[in-house]
Amino acid sequence: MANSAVEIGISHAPHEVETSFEIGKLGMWVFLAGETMLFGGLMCVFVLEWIYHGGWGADGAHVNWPLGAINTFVLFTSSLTAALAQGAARVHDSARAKRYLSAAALLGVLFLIIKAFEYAGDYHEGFTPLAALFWSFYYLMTGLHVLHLLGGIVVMFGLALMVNPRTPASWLERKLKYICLYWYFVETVWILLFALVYLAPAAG
Amino acid sequence: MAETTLEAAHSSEAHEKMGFWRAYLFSVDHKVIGKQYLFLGLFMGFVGVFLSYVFRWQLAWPGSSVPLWGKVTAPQYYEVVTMHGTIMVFFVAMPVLLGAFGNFLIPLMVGARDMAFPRLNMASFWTIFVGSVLLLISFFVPGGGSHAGWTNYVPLSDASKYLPGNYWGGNLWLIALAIDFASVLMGGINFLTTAIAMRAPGMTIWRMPLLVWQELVASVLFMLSVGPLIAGVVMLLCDRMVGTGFFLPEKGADPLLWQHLFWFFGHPEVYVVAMPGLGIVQEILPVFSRKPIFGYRMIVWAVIVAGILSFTVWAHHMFVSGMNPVLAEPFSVTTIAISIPFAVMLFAMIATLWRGQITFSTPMLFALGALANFILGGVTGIPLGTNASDIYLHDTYFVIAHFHNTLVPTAIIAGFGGIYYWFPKMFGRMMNETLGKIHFIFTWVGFNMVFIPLFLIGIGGGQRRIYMSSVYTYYKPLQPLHVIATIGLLIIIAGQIPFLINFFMSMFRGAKAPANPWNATTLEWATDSPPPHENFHTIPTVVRGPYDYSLPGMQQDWAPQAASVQAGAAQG
Amino acid sequence: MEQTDFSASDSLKTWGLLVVLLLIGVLTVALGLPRSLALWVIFCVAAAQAYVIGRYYMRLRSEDVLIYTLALLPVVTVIVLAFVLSPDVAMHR
Repeated sequence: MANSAVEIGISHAPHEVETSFEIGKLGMWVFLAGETMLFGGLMCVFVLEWIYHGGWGADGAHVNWPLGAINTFVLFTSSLTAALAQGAARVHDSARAKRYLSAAALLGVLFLIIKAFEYAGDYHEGFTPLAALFWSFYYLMTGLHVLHLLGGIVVMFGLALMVNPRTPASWLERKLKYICLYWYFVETVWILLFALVYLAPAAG
Repeated sequence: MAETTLEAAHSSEAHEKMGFWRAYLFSVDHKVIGKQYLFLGLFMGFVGVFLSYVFRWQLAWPGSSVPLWGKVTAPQYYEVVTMHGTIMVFFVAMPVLLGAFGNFLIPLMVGARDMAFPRLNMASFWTIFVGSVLLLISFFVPGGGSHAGWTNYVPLSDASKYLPGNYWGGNLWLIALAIDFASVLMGGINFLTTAIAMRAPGMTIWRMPLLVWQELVASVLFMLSVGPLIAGVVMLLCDRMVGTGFFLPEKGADPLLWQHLFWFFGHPEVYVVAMPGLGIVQEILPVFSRKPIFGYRMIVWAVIVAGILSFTVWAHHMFVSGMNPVLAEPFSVTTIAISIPFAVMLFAMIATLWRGQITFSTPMLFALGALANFILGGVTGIPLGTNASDIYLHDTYFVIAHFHNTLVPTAIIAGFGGIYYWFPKMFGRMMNETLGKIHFIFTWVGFNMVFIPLFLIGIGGGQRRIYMSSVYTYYKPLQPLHVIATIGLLIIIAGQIPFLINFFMSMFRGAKAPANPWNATTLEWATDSPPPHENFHTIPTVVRGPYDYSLPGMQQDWAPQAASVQAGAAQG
Repeated sequence: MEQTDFSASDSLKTWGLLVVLLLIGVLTVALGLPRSLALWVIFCVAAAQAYVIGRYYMRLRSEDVLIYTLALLPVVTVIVLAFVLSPDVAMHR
């Protein structure tokens, strides 16, 4: 398999390491820690500016929270299919795992499509990134999230494409674990964004 | 187990069949990648030194024509000082200390065959390569490279109306930095995972060499501090390219926000540079004193405490910025406090030397020079870290002299020490000692000749970032100090010639190096010079700590970390 | 190693919990609740959803202390950042 040839040093036999630790999982968590700082930093600044301005007021009142709520539901369903994919892989049903994985990615695409409609609608009503500080933050934060989601979708589709009847089930289980970790992280970021950038401004 | 076919897949014979591109350019071998980082860092270092030559000439002889540049205009002055700082910190210090030494040494020192994610490792190098290229390109766009200072403060850096004619230079600066940050983050994933999960049997974390500890803490510091700045960089890019007002006062934003985001990262960042540099010194001192490092665990705890504290001191860069004054006292206290773990480390390093059997080899000379100047840099940080005295010293040459006496010893002087020390392992050949010593004298004496006058200029009130000091009458008595400093820089530059000759000639014609020319104990010396592709013919078993030199009852004055290695012989 | 007891029905239950929480959050806005109450509910809902994902999907509870630390340390750092920035950014003159 193309990957194992380059997986030099991915793991040693147990007698060759002092501490056995799943390398892919550890690496993914280190990556997510850095990402938390990125999104966390943005959210922190957003919250501080919100406090300073005493709320976003009229600027935030027009955010399309119903569409945001639908998108949240789409993401929840997507992570459900991701978890189901992990479950299928655990019982070595690679074909079903592949189907669930593709479903998760497709739901991610649906999220992007709805988002595109939302951006277009906002733009049409004059709520561009330059309209107000709130909208600058809105586009920046949701845009960054979109980019991360897109990356996850690409990897998910790529992984799904690589699955064939000869794929070792343990390999698939591991790879799924890592990409699903990432996916749940992106989902968690969205949950916080939904609260900060949709519901809270809409609540006044 | 599927993956332990690695011995078969990656024996030296399989490796030899790779073409030039896979073996040297797009290699996933951490040793090759480490050397790529080293070459890139050295190249960017020479660019950075050239830039300092240009502005130092202007400072010594204002208005004169600088050989190989011409007359320096005001925008050019600010361009060269900005790019000098940016290149040196982000494209020299980090690639060399983390990318080169970290990549090359961590797997060897912990007894692994490679980093945990070799392809990610290769990607991290090419990422910083792209970032470096973009930054260099910015010199040639209309308006030239960024003029806004290496700290890129807003609102100057925010909108064209404040700094006209620097649009693409400023944008490329931000993009190059973001790419650089991504590269170091990728590297950090590898460093942490490898050191946690791939240590050889017997290599407990308390037996890891100090350099590995320093690289790890540096990686954690970077990972936890850079996120908010990446957010800030993206926000600033939006301001510049899209017209948002994240940092513009006239749109209701707080320009100090940029300073906070920058320094929240910027302070841990200087420790990201300092720690690996100190780690290199901590590797060299025991070897050439034939004594264990003093207080190994104490040093580890000091590094960790310093790392934690580094997140609590950043506003000492902002005492005079107009931030809420209520922040001044707490940050002064934390800044003084952070000198304690560093003092612990430095005392431990001095104690390592005490009553040792010292050999003044070239690596040792550089390590000692780095230690001496780092102490000077550290103590001169105290008047800067207390808000009262900083009111006078801020933005003077005192600050410049302070940070050069901390960053240069760790990044450059210790870096050179590391090059001389590990060159035999990297290239399988010995460097020339005489040329090395000449290099050291010119570099170290020249360095002090530059920066001791700069302390005096700062105390005398000499402000930094002044293009044409001759227009200020108060500056006149300070001018001779600038001349001395520039002559010091010319001495440094001259001293790099023996280094370049030594480096390249030794690479091809140096004496063949044995596996362990220094009789050192750590694991990288337990394998061939240079190591085989898979690092170790068999993974070593570690039976002792990393600095067992001259312990009571020993037959010889050192004991290698790995079991069953004959002293002085190559393993396998 | 991995728990094998996280079945499909457990996934479905988690999904259900998340959706219910979502509805609660949406209702606060749809019903036009008073601002402070609405904000409290919204952020508690978000925290609960994040907890649910972290515990059930990401399996944080069954992970090594090291992973736990890696997950929590950035959150703590961001909170510290917010706290120290607030005298300046949230309350600047």
